[in-house]
Amino acid sequence: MKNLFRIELIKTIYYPTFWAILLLHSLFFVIIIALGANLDINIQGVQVFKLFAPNYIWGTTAWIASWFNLLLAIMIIVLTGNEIQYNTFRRQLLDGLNRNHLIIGKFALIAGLSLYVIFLVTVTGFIISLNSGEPSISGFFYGFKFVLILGVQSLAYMSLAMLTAIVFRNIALSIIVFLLYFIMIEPFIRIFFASNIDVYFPVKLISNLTPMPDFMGMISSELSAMQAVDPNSIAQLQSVPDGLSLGISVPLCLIYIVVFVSVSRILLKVRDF
Amino acid sequence: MASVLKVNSLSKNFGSIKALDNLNLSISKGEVFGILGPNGSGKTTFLSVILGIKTATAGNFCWFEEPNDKVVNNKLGALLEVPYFYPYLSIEKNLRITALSRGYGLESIPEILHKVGLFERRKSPCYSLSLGMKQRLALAQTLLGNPEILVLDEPTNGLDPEGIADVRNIIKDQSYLGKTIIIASHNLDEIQKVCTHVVILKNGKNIAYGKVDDLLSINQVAIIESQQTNELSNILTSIKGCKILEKNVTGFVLTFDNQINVAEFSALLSNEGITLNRFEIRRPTLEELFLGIVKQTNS
Repeated sequence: MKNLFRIELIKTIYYPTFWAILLLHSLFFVIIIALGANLDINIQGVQVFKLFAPNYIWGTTAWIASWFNLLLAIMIIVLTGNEIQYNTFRRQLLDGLNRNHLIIGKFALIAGLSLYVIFLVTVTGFIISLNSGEPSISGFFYGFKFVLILGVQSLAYMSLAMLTAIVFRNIALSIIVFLLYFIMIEPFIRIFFASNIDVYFPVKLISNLTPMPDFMGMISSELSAMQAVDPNSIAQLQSVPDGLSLGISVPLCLIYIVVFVSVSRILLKVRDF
Repeated sequence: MASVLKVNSLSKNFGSIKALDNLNLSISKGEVFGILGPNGSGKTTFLSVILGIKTATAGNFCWFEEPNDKVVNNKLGALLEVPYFYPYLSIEKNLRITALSRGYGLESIPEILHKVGLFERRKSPCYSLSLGMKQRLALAQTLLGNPEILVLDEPTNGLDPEGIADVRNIIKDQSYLGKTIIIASHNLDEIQKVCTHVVILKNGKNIAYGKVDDLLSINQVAIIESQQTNELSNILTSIKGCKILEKNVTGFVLTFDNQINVAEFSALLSNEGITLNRFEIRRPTLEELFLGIVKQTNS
C-alpha cells in the first residue's frame, strides 16, 4: 500500500500540469477571499466583509472554495485520462499491480487533494479571522463543520471525475461531458422530477453540501438586534426549503462516493487494456 | 522439465473476429519460445491474455501450476507492443515506478540502466527519447528485478543494428541464466538465432508448434534454376508436398517435405525434358519454413 502512494506521488508531483492547476486553484481562491474580506459593498442587505466575520467565516470560505472544486475535478480527469492515453495503467498491470491497485492509487490521490482543500481553506480562514478585528477564540471554530463537509464534497466531485475519465477514456471528451452533466444534463433531467425528489440527484445533492451563506439569517440577527422587523416575517423567509439537511445529505454523498468508486473499479475490472 | 505456462483451448473474440482460436500449448522452464505469425495472427492478443491485460473469451491458462488465469506478474517481466511510460518523467523515475509496482528496491536501477545503455541519459525526460531509446527503456523495465520469465513482444522494434545485437545478447545472457523467455517477433532471423521452440499462429490458430530443430528438419529447401521456367512451374505445382516460395526469372525457391526423394525428383524433371542450370538442396531457414507453412495454409 505504501508503494502505491509513492507511485502516485512520483506520477503527480513531477507533472507540470498538476502544479499549474493547483496554483490556479489556490490563487483564485485566496484572491477572491482576500478581495471579499476587504470589500465594503452591500449584497442583499449584508455588508460583504461581514461574511468573513468569525461566526460566518467557515461557511463563507467553504462556499467560495466549492466554486473551484470543478478545477480539481478537471485535474483528476486529466491525470486519470493520461493513464489511459499513455497506456500506463497497462504498464502498471504488466509490472504486477492489479486493477484494484489502480483504483486505490487514484483514490488516494483524490483523498490527498481533498485534504489539501481542507488545509487551504483552514489556513486562509485562520488568517482572515486574525485580521478581521473581531477576534473571538470561543467562536473561532463555530461553523468549522462546513470545511470538513467541503472535504467530502471535493471527494465526491473528484470521484465522479475519475469515473467520467474511466468511462470516456478521452480527456477532452471527459471534461466536456463532465461539465455538460453539471451545467445542462442533470438540471434538465431534474425538470421532470418533483422538488422533493430532485434533491437526491448527485450534482444537486453534492452542490448543496456547501450552501450559500445565510444572508437571511444574518439580516435576521442584525434586524432582530435592532428590533426593526417583525421576527415572524423573517422566520417565514428562512423556511424556504433549499435541499436536504446535512444529516441526510452528507451520508448520501458518502454513498455516492462509494458508488462512483465501485463503478470505476468494476469498469477497470471487466475492461481489456 | 517443469512447465511454466500451460494454455488450454484459449480463445479470444473481438466481436465476430476470432483473434485466438482454441489455442493449446505448453512452455517449459528454460525454453526460449518464439511466437511467429503474420500481422493480425493473434501474437499480441495471446500475450495480452496470458499477461492478464485482456480476458479470454474461452479456455484458460496457468502459470507455474497456479489456479487458472492467475497472472504471477512478480515473476514476469513483460514488454508488450510499444513501450509505455510517463513522457514527462525521466528515465530513472519511470524505472522507479516499475520497481515500486513490482515491490523491489531501487538499488538495481543503475545496473539495469548500464545494461541497456541508458545510464548517461537517466535524467532525460522520456518525451525527448528516440524510438530506439524508448525500446531500450522498455527492456530495462522488463529486466528490472531479475524476473524468472521474460515476455517480449517485438523487442527489437525501432532499434539500430547495434541495438538489435545488444538485445540479442541480453536475451542469450538471460537464457544462459536459465530464464524462460517468450518472444513474439516478425524478425524471423532473430528468432532463429535465439529460440529453442516456436509456435506459428495464423488467424489465431496454432499451425505449427515444436522445437525449432525438429520443425526445420521436416522440410527441405531447393533452389532450382532453368531456362524452361514455365514448364518447370507446371511440373512443380503438380507435385504434392512441394511449395514454391519464390519465383524469379531464372528459377524457383521451393520447400518440399522429407517424403520427397531428391533423386526421384531430379529424375522426374529430367524425364519431362527440363534441363537444370542449378539444383541445390539445403536445410530451410525459419523464414522459409514460416513462409512455406503460411502458404500451405493459405492454399
